[in-house]
Amino acid sequence: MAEPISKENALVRRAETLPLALPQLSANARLAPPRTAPLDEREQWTVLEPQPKKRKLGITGVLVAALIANVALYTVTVIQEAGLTRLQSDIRDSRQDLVRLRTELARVQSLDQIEASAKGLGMVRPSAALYIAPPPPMAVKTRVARAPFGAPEGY
Amino acid sequence: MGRPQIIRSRSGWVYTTLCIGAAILAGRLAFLQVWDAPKLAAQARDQRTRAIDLGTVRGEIVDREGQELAVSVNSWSVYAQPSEFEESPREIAAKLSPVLGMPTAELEHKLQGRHWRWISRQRDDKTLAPTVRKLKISGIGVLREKKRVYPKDTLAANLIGFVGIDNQGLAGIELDFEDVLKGDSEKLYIQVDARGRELLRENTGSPLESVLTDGAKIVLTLDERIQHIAERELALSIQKLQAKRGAVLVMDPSNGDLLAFATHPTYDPNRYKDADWQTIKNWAAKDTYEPGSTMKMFTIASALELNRLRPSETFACGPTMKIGKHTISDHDAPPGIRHLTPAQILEVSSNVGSILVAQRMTPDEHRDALTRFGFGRDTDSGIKGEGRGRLPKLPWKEITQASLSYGYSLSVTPLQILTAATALANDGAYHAPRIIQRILSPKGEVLQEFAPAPPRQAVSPETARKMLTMMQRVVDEGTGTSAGIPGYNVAGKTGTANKAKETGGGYSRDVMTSFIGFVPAEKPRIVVLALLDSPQNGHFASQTASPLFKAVAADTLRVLGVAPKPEEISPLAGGTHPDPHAETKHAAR
Repeated sequence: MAEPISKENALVRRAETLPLALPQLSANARLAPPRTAPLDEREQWTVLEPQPKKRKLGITGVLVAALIANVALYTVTVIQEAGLTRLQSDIRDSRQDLVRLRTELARVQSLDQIEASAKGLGMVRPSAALYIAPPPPMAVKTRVARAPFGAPEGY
Repeated sequence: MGRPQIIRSRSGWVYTTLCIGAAILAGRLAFLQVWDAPKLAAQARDQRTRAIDLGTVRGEIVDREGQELAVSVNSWSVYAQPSEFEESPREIAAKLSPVLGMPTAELEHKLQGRHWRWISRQRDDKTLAPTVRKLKISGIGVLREKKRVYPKDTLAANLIGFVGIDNQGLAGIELDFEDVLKGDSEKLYIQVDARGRELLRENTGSPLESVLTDGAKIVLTLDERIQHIAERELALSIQKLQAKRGAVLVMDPSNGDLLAFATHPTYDPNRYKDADWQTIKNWAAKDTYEPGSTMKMFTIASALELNRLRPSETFACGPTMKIGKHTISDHDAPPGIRHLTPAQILEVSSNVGSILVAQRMTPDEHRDALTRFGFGRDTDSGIKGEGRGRLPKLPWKEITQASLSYGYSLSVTPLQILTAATALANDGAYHAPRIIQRILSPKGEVLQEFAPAPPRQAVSPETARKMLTMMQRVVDEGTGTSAGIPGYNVAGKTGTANKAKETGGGYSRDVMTSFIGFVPAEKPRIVVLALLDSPQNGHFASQTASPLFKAVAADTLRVLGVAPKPEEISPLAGGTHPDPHAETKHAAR
């Protein structure tokens, strides 16, 4: 808590704090009582204590920490962005691999190739097609469908 | 003036000056922030962002079951920037030659000059880029490109077409649906620093959003298996009969879907540069020919529809008939008068009988009836450059109507006459042919559904049924016996037409033989056109096109799971079905 300033020093102190606001005073005038309100009616002046170094250090620390956090956050963002880019690239490459494999599969499944391979293995076209009617207990409703090799994949 | 006044005066000036300065700054700030803001923001954005062109992957073309017919895969291309060369072209060529597998002289020639150029394009070797990079040749680089691949080689090549080296459609569906297949080029915007290094990305709400930039996928109505059968049998027939070319078209009469669209000779779209234009051209939809006797089914159907004919009445047909100065004769007709019903006219393919039927109609009526079958106009198949054929304009001379009745004096495309015949298999309802089923987005959503066009009635269902019954006799007892498929009732009509000389002035000895067949005749599942141009080892459709039809239709019925007649199905204990490829009792007759 600041101590109240003594009556004698009040003017000097004021002159020190407001040097520009004070006009030049003559010697007599200096001795004359101040043309101000009585001391007890005036607001009590207080002397502010100088800020301790600790607080300054604290503020600086907080600022530095915030700066470091910002840089760290930015770095993490950039790294994750790079990771995202890499993942995007991986997805694209994987998709292309998928397309390439599907293309190879389509080539292998080409009926021309299958027939040629079959002929190469000595197979011949059947001379007759056998259509059979299963007995009633075995007869189930079926529909002709091909294997889902060519089912379009979703992405 | 006392000192305080001077100070006050000076302070006033200073404050005023500062206020004016602040006002100017505030004004400028407001100008920049309000009036100039959009322009400056755009400038700033341009300065800090860079667009990366992600390019597009050309959409696939698949058959109705999803089998890939055209796909785009990664490939690698080598380029040269001669201004950056630090070695001589000879030295660079020597280094690159073993990697690219190209002769050094050829490479050296390509490396001459000053401008940027491709050295080798669209190579499948994935290791090409690292290998070339290892060589550390200044001015030589590798770029990744998309390459169009047709995994089924020649399958439906005339219909699908092909793309050029820069992936632009050049023929067929690849050309007709270029905008759909190509897709929109997608751009990815990134933030860069003062040196252009990447900082942050924009517009990447989802990582996939910037990756999936393919063109749309086109789903065709073709069935790979039926297409394969058609192409295989057609190639065998052409080889056996020494024909110039041929086509087999298979259509589902219930909706106009083309299940097969085969032409031969064909080409491999993976090596389209080796093919000539006559082979590449989709002539089955573009070229026209005089159909010959297959036209008789439309003549009789038209007369039936107009009630100018009863199926039971007979026509007195001589072996020849004179119209003006022209004499029209029937092939292989016995001397004397034959009394032929409309069914028998079809059965023996009588030109004279057909003329007598046509003469029951006025030219107006006749033309109008043929127009309802789609002759003389587009089929609306969606194939660009499709031929319209030619149906003569009125008034017709007597000989014009007479020759039209048995398939001369008009021209049709193979697709056109097949579509017209399909109406008879579909209770008289004419469906426009459908080749594209739907267009799917890269994510699999349906972008456009090509529903079958609403049918229009060409003839009444009764007329259509009567015609199928009559045409069944053609296969059972008439000119088309070699088209009979054991176990199934087949209806159809043969056609053998002399080809007009290309130089004009009459007809050549070459013929166009064709067969249009419907099977099963009771409720056709498929309608097939078999057409052969100038067969050398056989002159008539019964010897050439009919067996071709039979071979294609028999296997197609199996693929579609169409059961034969119940009496042909054996109990599980045993029994075999007669060989559909063997000569039938009809053919033997």
